[in-house]
Amino acid sequence: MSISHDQITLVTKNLSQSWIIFSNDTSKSDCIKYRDIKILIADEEHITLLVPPSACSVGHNLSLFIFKNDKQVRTLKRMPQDKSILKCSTVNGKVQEFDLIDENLAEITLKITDRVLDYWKSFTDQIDKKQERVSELFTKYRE
Amino acid sequence: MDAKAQALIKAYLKTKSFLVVEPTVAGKTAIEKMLQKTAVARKNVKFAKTLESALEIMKDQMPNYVFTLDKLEDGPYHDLLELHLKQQPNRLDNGFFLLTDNDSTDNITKLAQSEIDAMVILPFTVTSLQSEFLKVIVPKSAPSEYKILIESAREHMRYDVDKAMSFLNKAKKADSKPFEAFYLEGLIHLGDKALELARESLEQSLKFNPSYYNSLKELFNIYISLKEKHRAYQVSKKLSENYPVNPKMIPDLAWVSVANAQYDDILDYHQAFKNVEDPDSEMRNYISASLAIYGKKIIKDKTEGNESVDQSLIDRALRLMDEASVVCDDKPLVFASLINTLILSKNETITSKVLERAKSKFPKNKTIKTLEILADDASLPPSKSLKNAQDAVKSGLKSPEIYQIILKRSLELGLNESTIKDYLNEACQEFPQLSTEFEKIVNK
Repeated sequence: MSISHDQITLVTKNLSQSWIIFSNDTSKSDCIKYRDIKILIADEEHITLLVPPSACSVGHNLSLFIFKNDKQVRTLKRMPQDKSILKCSTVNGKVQEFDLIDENLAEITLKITDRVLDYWKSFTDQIDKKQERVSELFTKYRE
Repeated sequence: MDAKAQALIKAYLKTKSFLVVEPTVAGKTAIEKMLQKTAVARKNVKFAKTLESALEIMKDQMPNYVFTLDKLEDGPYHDLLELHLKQQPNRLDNGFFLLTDNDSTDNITKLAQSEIDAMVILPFTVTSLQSEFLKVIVPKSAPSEYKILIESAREHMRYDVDKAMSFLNKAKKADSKPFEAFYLEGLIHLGDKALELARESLEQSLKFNPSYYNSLKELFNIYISLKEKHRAYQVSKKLSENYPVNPKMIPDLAWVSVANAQYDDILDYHQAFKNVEDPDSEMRNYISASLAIYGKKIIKDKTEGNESVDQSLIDRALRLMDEASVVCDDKPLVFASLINTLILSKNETITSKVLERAKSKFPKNKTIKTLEILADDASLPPSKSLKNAQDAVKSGLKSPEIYQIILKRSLELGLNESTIKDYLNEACQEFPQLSTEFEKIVNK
């Protein structure tokens, strides 16, 4: 194998993740505390997230705005009226389950009611691909 | 998956118990569902939400397999892993899955070198969760004779080295490429501080698997200890070609490259560094240290009259040292190294630039204050330089180099003999081991 000077990469602590904020269309409120919102599980029909406990209840309809990085969410002081300025993808869902974890955190599972099919498929595919990539590097150290 | 493999998995899992440490309902449900789909009976799965309750269950039930988040509300997972390894040293019948949202290469490489079996990234899907589970279970459900011997050796590595060794000797014959057996043998020798024996085992390991990380890593350290710079270099190339480079290793790697006159390697690390978005302080310090090593070698070679060091090489070295002083976050010693080298280079522009940066970062640092006096000595008139040096000594900043300046400049300015003698006595009092050096200056 010839030594290619382009190939060196450094180990970094930079991790990749999605950033989420949402509108609650039922209670007419918004949650832009992106640091307190995290996706845990995703499949074809459902998504499970950690959210601030007061942001929603069972039966509420939410619009999730999913960002690839935190550049824009960092700057938001409030949810914009005109959602088209948000550089993100949108997924709508109904809260099917709500469980309080502690005073700061609740776990909700949404049944996805409206999604751009291609986007959602690519979102879950990305998750699988990420796991593959991680697993590949992990295994490399052991073989 | 064929029927035979499925039957093997079913038989394997029938006797296994599980502990799932997950504070969320959905997470618990998803893992439970996945396990049931893979022929694990519901009664064999226990659940916990916190570290404390998980430890309790473990002490009581001694589960074969553990699934856990890396961060639980009452602490991180490490105690769980420690306990699991103690309770279940045979890792063919047992395993540990870690769920984490940290997919950085730093986390992956750390975990890959730990005792966990797999890392499941959050968020997960049903597919990603199950695929990681099967990746671990399938080989364990039908292990080769070699694998069994290797795991038996590992099981005894901590407390019964002789037993481990006997398993390894059998393992070496049980596979055509027993690289792991030789690696573990190398580790045992390292434990006994038998460097040469360790080296032999690890070199054997690499014969069977030239890019096996564990052997490369240990052998690199051994070659550095034995000062075998060529071999260390060969290993370092294999490492950096096949694996992401840990910034902590960069100063060592830089030293090895320079010792082998492979200067361009440092440029490669530097280029890789420039590709990192938001490098942290640690990385910046390591890269700037490596650039300082690079600059020092080039300028040193030049001052020693090495003809292969042409002007373009020097210009590049100066440029990189300038950059190193911008990149370096908080290591005064890196600055000190840069300035020392730059003083030798006699390039006043860059020297003063780097000095200014050093002073503004570390206004109280004595080494840098001393270096400033040394750097200025080259460009100031002797009377000014002498005053600087005298003021420094008065303020408590005493160093051999400063005394040398005082003596040299006093002589140059023709100060009277008794004054110079006083200075000499003071210098010899402060640094008696350098008296001969100081006297040489005065007696010139």
